[in-house]
Amino acid sequence: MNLELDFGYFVEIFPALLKLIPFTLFLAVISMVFSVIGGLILALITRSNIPVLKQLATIYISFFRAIPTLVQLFLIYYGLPQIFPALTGMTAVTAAILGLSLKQSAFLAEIFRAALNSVEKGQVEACLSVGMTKAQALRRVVLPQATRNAIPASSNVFIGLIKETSLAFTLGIVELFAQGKILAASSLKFFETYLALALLYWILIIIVTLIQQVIEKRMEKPYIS
Amino acid sequence: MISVKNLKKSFGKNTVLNGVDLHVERGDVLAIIGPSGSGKSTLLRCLNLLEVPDEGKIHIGATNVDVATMGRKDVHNLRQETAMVFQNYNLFKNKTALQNVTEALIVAKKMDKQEAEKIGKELLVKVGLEDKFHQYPSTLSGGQQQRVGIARALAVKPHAILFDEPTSALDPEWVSEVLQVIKDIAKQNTTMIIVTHEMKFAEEVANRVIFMADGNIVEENEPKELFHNPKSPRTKQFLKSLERDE
Repeated sequence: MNLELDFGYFVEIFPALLKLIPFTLFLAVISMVFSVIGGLILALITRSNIPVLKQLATIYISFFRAIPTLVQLFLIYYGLPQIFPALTGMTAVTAAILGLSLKQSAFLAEIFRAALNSVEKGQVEACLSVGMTKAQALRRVVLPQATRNAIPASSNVFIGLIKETSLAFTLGIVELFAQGKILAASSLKFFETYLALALLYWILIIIVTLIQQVIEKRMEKPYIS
Repeated sequence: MISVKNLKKSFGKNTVLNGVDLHVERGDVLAIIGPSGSGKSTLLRCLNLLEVPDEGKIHIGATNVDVATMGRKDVHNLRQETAMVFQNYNLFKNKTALQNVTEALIVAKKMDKQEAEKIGKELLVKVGLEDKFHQYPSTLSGGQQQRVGIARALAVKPHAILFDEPTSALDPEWVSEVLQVIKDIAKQNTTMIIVTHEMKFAEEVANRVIFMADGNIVEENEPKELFHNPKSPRTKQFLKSLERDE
């Protein structure tokens, strides 16, 4: 075993890596926003009884849960422009966000569907019984309660998203992981570079988990007896 | 006034309401009693269309609905005429006692928040919860939750209040406080239909009682008559079975 760890180098590269954290977070947050919107729409459709749309949503969820993220990114960035020449101008960043959003909305749809189903039927009945509409019941009573149920699993999806942004390097995007790769290639200090990278991802996820705990605690307030 | 004609409802092959006719005058307090499975809760839930009947006509207040031809608008209008108090309270779990009462005022009746809160607080005081405005349902006892449920129903000033076994899920210690609140409201000329297992309460609070069995109204009369001088053998048998329990 060779224990010649270059600690000076290890510390030195942090600023260069840290510079890319905002961009990695940008990719993850934007994709999460689109995924939440898409997931909610899909969940509401699968719970409804709208013919055709319901079947389409089910097929969508099945497809995007099944294929590997990498295959999906390649399909969108390298494959789609071949069929639709208009998409040739699509930037790699757009393709990455699109791919990640399409996939995670399928996962979130399942989480949201379960969260919506866990809200008691009586809650909607109570809304209707005092003259509210179904839409008002959904917005004011069902969604807030379902959100609380969905937070833990949705946080997992977000954590997954942060890590999956590293796949964007395959489309030529310089994000956190790609930056690490560049540094390692020029210094040939692979262990130090990737260890620094690993630590940075870990810290990011720890911070996200802390935020999750704060949100959960706040949402739990009405339910503590 | 409430008027129901030929109301029918089946769940699969099981006929729950077998052509029920019902008439309730403004200010009436009608109690519906009967064995479980007799269709009394279903009848109540058909009045605000939480259960959609198979056929029949429902007239409540200013709204007239024929089940066969009703549209979305009719459903909404009919629901505006009543408010329901549920067996399991069904308070909005994500809202405080006060928000439970004001929710429909703000969202459905488009009242401004201050005005709604003024009404909400008055009603909560009326049901004896002046110190619980900002507590969530999870921190309230069953009796307190049900009193919030009653305040919530009163808030929308419905043509009639529907009580669906309001004390059945309560621990015995909370039953009397809830019944007392209902009695107080009954005195104020509020039209009410109460499905209940509390016979003594039904006799005291109602000015008319219906006995239901197997999806039909078997007997209808003033409480004194129905409880102490029942005409139908089915009613006699039911009341007798209750005596045995006591």
